[in-house]
Amino acid sequence: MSSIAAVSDIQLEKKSSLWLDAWCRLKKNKMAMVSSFLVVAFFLLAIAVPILSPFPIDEVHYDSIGMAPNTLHWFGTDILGRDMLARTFYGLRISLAVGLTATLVSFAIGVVYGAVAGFYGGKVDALMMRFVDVVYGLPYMFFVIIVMSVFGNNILILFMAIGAVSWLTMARIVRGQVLSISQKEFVEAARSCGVRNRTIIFRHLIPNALGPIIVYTTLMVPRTILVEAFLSFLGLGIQPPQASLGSLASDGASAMDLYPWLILFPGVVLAILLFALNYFGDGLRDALDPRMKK
Amino acid sequence: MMALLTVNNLCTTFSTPEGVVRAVDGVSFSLERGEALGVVGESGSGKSVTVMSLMRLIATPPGRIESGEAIFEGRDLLKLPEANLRSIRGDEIAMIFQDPLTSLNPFLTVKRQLTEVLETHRRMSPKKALTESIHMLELVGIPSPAKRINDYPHEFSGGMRQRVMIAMALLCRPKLLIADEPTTALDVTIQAQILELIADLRHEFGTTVILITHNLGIVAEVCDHVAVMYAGKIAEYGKMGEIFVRPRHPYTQGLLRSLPRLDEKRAARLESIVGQPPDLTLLPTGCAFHPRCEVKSEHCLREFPSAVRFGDHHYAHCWHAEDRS
Ligand SMILES: Nc1ncnc2c1ncn2[C@@H]1O[C@H](COP(=O)(O)OP(=O)(O)O)[C@@H](O)[C@H]1O
Ligand SMILES: [Mg+2]
Repeated sequence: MSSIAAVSDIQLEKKSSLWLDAWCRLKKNKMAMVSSFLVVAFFLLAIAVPILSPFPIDEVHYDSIGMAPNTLHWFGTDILGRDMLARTFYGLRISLAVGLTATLVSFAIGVVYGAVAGFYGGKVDALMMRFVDVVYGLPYMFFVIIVMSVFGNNILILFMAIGAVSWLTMARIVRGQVLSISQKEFVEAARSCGVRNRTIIFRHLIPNALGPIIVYTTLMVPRTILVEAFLSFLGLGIQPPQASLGSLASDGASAMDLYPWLILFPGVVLAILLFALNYFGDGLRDALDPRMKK
Repeated sequence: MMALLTVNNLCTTFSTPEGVVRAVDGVSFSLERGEALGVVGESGSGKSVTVMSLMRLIATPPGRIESGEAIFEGRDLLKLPEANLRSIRGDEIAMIFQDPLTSLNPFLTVKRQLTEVLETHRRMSPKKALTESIHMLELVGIPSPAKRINDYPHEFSGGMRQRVMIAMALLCRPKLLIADEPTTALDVTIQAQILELIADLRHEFGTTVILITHNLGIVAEVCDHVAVMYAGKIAEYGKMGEIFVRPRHPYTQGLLRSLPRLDEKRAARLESIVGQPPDLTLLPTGCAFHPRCEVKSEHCLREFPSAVRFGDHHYAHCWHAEDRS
């Protein structure tokens, strides 16, 4: 029995690529798997909400103001009689969109910036990373709030403001990875073959740093969602009639004692989403690199 | 005929926290077309830094090529613009490294890595590049190359991986092939096969070869000239046969004594050179080898020996080279 297991282990070792190994480890992690199902479910719901929901997001009904959860309105209605289930999932939609776009922006900037700094090293690296340190030192929220108040509450500005600050950590991570991968012989070998720097960075260095990049990207989504929620809660983010989970919670908070469900449902959905994304990201990290485990 | 490569007074230093290290200190040699030069010496003697300097692959900082010239077919490699140099690397001069596992990108298939070289230098169509790569894998002895070319490096054994590296290096039919300890990471039987392969391909393509190793026995199988390096300098240089039969430098003699010999009846205990390779930050005065030398005199402590010539192509930097024939 054990010898069969050993043989199949060896075969697994030989056959499976690094990604397959990671997938096997990820599958064993129950929390991460449950979380990934939740995330996927939330995604699908957020996409399908206009089709699924019988109530439009912004239709005001004066005959159904402030109704507690019931069989018709599962999440109740708000003070304008709008269905909270629909609004919550519309809000989820915006939150996810903000989270993903901002993450994408910081992913693109951070990966390229970090890879260039790490690859060229020396003075270039020192200069580029000093800049990151300086921006890092600025109070993050303060910066976003200033940008938002100067340029107005535009959703595009919101994306960019969040993205513009969250690429810093990505740049640091990628730079560290690239710095160590650059020492490896295959990079030297590629250079000794006359391969261009650009090709070395994009074909040899970044793909080898992909594990940590993916992990950090996954963990960045909940972080940006939280930032957006926080800004919206302060009234700096999404403006009505659009709604995100944060702005819904903000609206709900002002009427918390009369209509507690108005803050409860967006809050709970936000909490579940953040938990799921974080657990999934952690699971992914453990799967991709067991040694990174804290 | 003009030499393929002439290196003059090459000096490369590294700034380290302990001070500036002269890893290569005034190395000169010349390579005729079709010649195979073996560079031997203990680890840390500056063999790799020498060839990496020729390819200008020294990380700067901490490294710096201080001086010297390396004339390759009329062009000085050390002064060429980076873009021109890049078109020489992998095309006219190719390299093989010590560890074939780490010298191949684990995330790319062998096919990608081979065709990349041809794309870089030959602007070949993908189809032609693939045919060419498969052909080269066949030449270096990879079984069913058309199938294996789609595999990742970790799916090959150590010896096969080194064959892939050799194929990659030879794709553009380089004029000069530099092999930096190509067999050190392999076990003995595989070592012999790889050396044989290098020797065969060398004759087949007429490639000029620099073979770095810390094992004189390996040099004997492939090379016709030998440069023995110690502490960043060439201690002795000569034809293979002469170095083996009449080594002049005590260090070369020591290296030869540490080789296992087939012609000895009893398994004599291998003598190895006493003492440690020198710490380059604290080099001894005069001849750097003197603390380990059996024949040193007071002169050796004071002054670095000038070259003593024995015929046209054999010299040794030793004050006592003459008396020890
Ligand atoms: N990146 C580096 N930083 C500092 N010193 C280095 C570096 N690379 C090489 N050296 C120095 O150069 C010396 C020669 O190294 P090397 O040429 O690699 O030796 P070998 O003959 O074993 O190939 C080493 O002993 C070391 O002191
Ligand atoms: Mg070396």
